[in-house]
Amino acid sequence: MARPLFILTPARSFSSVISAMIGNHPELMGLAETHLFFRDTYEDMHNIYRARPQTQDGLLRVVAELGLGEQSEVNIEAARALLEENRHAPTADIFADLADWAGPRELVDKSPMYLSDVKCMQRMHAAFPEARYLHITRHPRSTCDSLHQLINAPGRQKKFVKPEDMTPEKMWLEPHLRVLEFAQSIEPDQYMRLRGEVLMEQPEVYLQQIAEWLGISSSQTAVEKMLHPENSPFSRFGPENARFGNDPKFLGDPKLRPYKAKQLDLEEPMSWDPSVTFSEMVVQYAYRFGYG
Amino acid sequence: MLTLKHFERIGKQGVGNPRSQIAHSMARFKDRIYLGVTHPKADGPTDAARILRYVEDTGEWETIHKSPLVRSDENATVKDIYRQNMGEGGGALSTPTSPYVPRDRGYRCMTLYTPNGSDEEVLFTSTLSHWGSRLLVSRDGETFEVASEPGLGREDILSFRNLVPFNGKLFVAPAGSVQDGVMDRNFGDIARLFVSDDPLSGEWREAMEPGFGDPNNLSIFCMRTFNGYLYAGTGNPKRGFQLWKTRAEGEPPYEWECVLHDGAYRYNINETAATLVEFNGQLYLSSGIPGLGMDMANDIGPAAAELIRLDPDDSWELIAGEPRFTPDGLKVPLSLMGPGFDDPENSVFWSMTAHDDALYVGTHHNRMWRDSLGGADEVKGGFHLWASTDGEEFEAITLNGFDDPYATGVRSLLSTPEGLFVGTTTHRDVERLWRLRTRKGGQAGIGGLEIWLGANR
Repeated sequence: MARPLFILTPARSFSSVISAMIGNHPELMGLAETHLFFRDTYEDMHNIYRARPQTQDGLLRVVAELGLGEQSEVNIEAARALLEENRHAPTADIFADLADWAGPRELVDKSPMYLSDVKCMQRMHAAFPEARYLHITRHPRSTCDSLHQLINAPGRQKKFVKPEDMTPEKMWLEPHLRVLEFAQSIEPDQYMRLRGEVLMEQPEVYLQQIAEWLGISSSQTAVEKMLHPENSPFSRFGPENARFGNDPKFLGDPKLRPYKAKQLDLEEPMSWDPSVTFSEMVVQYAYRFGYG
Repeated sequence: MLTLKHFERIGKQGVGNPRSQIAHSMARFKDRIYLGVTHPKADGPTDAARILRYVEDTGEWETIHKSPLVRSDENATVKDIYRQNMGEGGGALSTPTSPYVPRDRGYRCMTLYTPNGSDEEVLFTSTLSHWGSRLLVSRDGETFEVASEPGLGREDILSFRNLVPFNGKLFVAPAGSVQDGVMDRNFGDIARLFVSDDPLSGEWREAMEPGFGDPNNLSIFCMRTFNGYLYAGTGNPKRGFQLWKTRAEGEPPYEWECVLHDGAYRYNINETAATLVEFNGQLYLSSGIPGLGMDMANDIGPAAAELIRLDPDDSWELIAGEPRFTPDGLKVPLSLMGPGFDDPENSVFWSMTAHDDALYVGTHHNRMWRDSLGGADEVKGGFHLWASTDGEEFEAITLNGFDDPYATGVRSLLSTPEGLFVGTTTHRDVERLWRLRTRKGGQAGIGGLEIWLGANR
């Protein structure tokens, strides 16, 4: 039985680079964002693909790479056809096929969409009872600022974002609460939490520990490979018919750079709206995660 | 190592007063065992705290000292910070039934100290008082005299949780506060520590920068000497406990070195460093959340306690607790047990001691409160007492308060040549509440703390 690693993190929380680093371990295979556990079957995913076609890119690239040998335009179309032929297949079965193709390497999967509903995580657990889950956090202020910037970037389609969703509770707290709720339902050794900032500041220190926890080689050689997220086949733009599958900013510049976390407070109002401050509950969970 | 069969009860029903619920402190002084008891409330003269002495020949406890009474005033009716949200009129700690209430509703800590220039040990005891904690001293074990100003000059100090002699000096750490009509049994404005090389003179100085420079360190919860240093663990509701050490050289305030911070990277879920003890050349630190597993005042928890071990070089390992990534490496529990020794109701590892060849860990257990206040059909719970000869593999001596769910905590442990003394916190009065709530009828048991003695007989 495959034992994938799922990285659970809200959007704008270092998920792309961290996932690519961990997935670059010689015994692992980091994926583009497949979003597979967002729904029960591939067919159920079609509504999402219709509304936001780019969300399919990650899965197409992964099927092309792992199942067909490389990510070419031809293989992307072949992957699309293959998936359409099996459109009634449970998404868990498709993921199991990916795991078979990648074997003996274990899969590393992440998608911020999984944190929108605890059912996504429950699907993962039902399909892979021995999977591991790495919960990555980021300071609520930088998470919210980054999301706000992204949503308001020029040319960005804002129709998917309701104003009432632009609160620290919705952007930061609720996704984390869903992870904590899910973590209660699995064995303690299946779940670990880590502040993304410390991993980014001292990647050698924490990547080695992650490997140790996963029970794979924590040798210097293995860690050295993990320090090069740019070497993943999914750390670049894909062919024209499946360009994305990850944060475009990361795809354009996937190298790991020295990082130093800023000192951030929990009292000041949000940069984009002086009337919005963190609620007591957001502050409390920020302390719980080691921020403050 | 002691097991359940080695323990017998040598004190029950509050040792002479069922309202005495907390065996807060114990010491062996002049070859006799002394016990300081605390009352959760101070409604009237019957809540006067006592210092008792064990009479081995008869198996009884004799009262050596009893709190004087004072006229009740606004400090007698303060609100409990943990109950502040109980609505208008709610949350009062006590409702005095008499014009007079005890000055001391508890005797929280005892320690032996040899004054400079003397070769005779004296016994210091700290009081728990709403009018400023005092230090009491006994030279002969028969009489106890006041040996300090209230709160060493700060009358808002509820008690002194730790009295520790080190390098000829006595260090005392305040715990809790009474101010503006509210009592906080654990925290004050900021952590402080006082030191004196002549405590009987009444001259005390600050031994550290308040809060160790961190305004979120609100109290020192535990102290212990180890490897030529004095170690002090804090309570910090925002960042989690910190552990500091000093050689206490030169003039106070001394230079301190931070050993652990951020609740050993479990953050504020490890809100306080509850106890410290040396065993087999290593220092064991336990954590905990005050209150009933949930710090209502600071909105922390519920969560269970951890046990951590430090080497003389201050490197550390997790013995029981939550696996995590840290700057000091991956920490997984060496006992293979999670927080609370795998019981989420063990909110504090409340007392620890080394005795003969083993380390003993007693817990505070919340289950009774949940069952009683929630009106469960049956009340379960009771503290745990665990033991280990290597500090990694633990065996349970009891998982149910020696078969008493109302015995919620091991509040004190004392290793003596006669055996291991175990002092409980027992809230028998809650049984009456549960019987009312569930319409069970019947008679509630008679309450109060218990003392158990474990010995290889």
